[in-house]
Amino acid sequence: MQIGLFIPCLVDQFFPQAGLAVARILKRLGHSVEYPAEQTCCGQPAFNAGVRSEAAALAKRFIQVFDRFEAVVAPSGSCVAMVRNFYPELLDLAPHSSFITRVFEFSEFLVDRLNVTDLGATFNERVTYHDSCHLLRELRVREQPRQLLRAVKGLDFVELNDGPTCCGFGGVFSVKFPEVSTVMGEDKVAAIERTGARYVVASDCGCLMHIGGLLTRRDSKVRPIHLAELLGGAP
Amino acid sequence: MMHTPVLEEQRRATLARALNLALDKRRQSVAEFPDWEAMRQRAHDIRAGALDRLDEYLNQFERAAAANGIRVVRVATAEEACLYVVAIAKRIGVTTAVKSKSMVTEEIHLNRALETEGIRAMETDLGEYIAQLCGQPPFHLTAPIVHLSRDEVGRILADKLGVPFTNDPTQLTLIARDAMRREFLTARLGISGANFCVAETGSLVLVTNEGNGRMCTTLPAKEGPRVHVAITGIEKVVPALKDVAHLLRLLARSGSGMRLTAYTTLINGPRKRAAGEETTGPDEVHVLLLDNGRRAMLRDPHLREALCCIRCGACSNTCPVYHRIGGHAYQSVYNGPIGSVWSAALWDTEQAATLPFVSSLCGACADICPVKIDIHHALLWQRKLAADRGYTPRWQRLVWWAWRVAMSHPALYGFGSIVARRLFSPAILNRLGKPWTETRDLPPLARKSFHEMWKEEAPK
Ligand code: SF4
Repeated sequence: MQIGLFIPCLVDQFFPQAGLAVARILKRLGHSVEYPAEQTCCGQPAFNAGVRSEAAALAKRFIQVFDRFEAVVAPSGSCVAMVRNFYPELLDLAPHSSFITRVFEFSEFLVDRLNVTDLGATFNERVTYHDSCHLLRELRVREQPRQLLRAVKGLDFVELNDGPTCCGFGGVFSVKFPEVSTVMGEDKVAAIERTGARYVVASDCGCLMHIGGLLTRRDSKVRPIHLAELLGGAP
Repeated sequence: MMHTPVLEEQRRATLARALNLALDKRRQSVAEFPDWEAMRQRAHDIRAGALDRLDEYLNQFERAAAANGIRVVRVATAEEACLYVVAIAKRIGVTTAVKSKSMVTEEIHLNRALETEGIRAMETDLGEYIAQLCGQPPFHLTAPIVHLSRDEVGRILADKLGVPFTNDPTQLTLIARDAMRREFLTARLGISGANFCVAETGSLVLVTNEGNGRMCTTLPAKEGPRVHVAITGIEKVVPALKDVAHLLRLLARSGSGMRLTAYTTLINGPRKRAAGEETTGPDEVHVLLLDNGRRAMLRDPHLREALCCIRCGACSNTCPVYHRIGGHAYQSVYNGPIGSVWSAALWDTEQAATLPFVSSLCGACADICPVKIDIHHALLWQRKLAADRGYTPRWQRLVWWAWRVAMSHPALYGFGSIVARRLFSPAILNRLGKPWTETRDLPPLARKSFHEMWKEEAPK
């Protein structure tokens, strides 16, 4: 399959390894992966701020950049939710427009589209999984990441018994209302620590950045890691 | 920008205990229905269907209620509604009214309007009564004092009523009941809301847990004319009693986890016979159907859904932001997730326009809502409306414009990304990253962006 890689801004700037892992895994599965270098942002930050005209300009651009691919895959539930759930409203598209149905979040693409759950990875650690809100509630992706994690050899999977509830990131929310966001994150981190896991896995770099920022601030031994990175292993 | 303080830890814990208890009980009572999702859908369809033909159902309700002897009045604004109630109070010559819990009367600030005319409105829902004693607005749509501990309630009653302190819930209830009884037995003006107005039969449906709603609407006083006024929003109409039956199955379960509220009252009109033959029941029943911005919501397809709300309070119970800031932080009668949607729709103020931004858009509210309102999507829409109305400061719009220009030119974005890597050491990033970095670390920028890495060596 001819796959276009969509690397959201946070992945590009802070977590490039997650993006590389996605590319590596998809190539290993025999697909051709291309990264259109002219891509930038899907427009979500402006959309969430209510400034829809600026968001629409970037949404149109996004479609132009990615329209030629059979599938578009991103290591981010939030950005895919922006395209799938909000582009139709923003650009007046049909909700099942052929473009929208070709954009996938990484774990749902593997499990639902490629029917792959076992990537042959090994990870000898106790791991918990944080459901990022947009992946869970906008895209309804819950089981796919768990299936992928359970197939990893040596991995001791523990559920995070906290709802699942938001980590408090929420994009601009985290800087606009830092106190509220922090308290939400601190409760999340406490729940993570209660599991005794060494790693907290998520499929969104926003959550990983927020949870990670609180973990290192309190010198926790728990490390945040993107699902793709865990599954992709070393090159 | 609005400052949203986080509740202090103790208060947060008290609140979380109460809200989580309600959520646990909800989970258990919802689990009794394997087809809960289908029930939600049906509840949504009932409410949305009623809104689709709102005028038709309102007219039907009005006719049926009138046939039962109820006077139905349409009121456009809060002022109009308040004036109407004040006029009744003056006509029948009362200086006290007993009130059953009603968010719509909070919305129109009825108590204040009555007080300026020398009429005391006494809240008779236990929580609302205590909130009134300490001069606080309700903290929650359905549980006005959910944030107070038993000890605090005991101290408030001891303070305000001069009774000995106790923190025993039964004793506390008895104390309040004692204070209310006297009022109930002499009150001649009863004020309530309505959970539903039934078009088919012209009935009002009222749910309460303490039976105070019945006392406020049956008015057992022996002397003089007795009047019950129900004030409710135009959106509360439903086609038929069978619809009410369905909605009631979801309402209490969603909010408190109870199968049903303790009292469900159907009001079909004033006392039918002469006072000598039938002792309870008012001489007159008036229903005020309030617009106050609801028709404008109805016209906006994105806000119309929000009118489906049956005020169960579940969205607040589950909201991670509400848990941390509590109801008063919203500084609005309607608080929590749906309250933010409503407040911004009803009031064109900067404060109300800010509320939709006080959300991480996690969507937990929409998942729990028994009538399937896409609450967080409505919040997003309200953000757009806020920006359109000019509540987004000009400098912010400029920032978004600049951001869009940069993001439209990959070269510009790429250049910025490379420059940032050279200039921003972790220390500088930490300083620039405020207020994020006051409580959280920022990860260092990757040595090379994905973009640069890919250019150099795309993985084989
Ligand atoms: S929006 Fe839904 S969950 Fe919230 S109070 Fe209304 S009915 Fe209940």
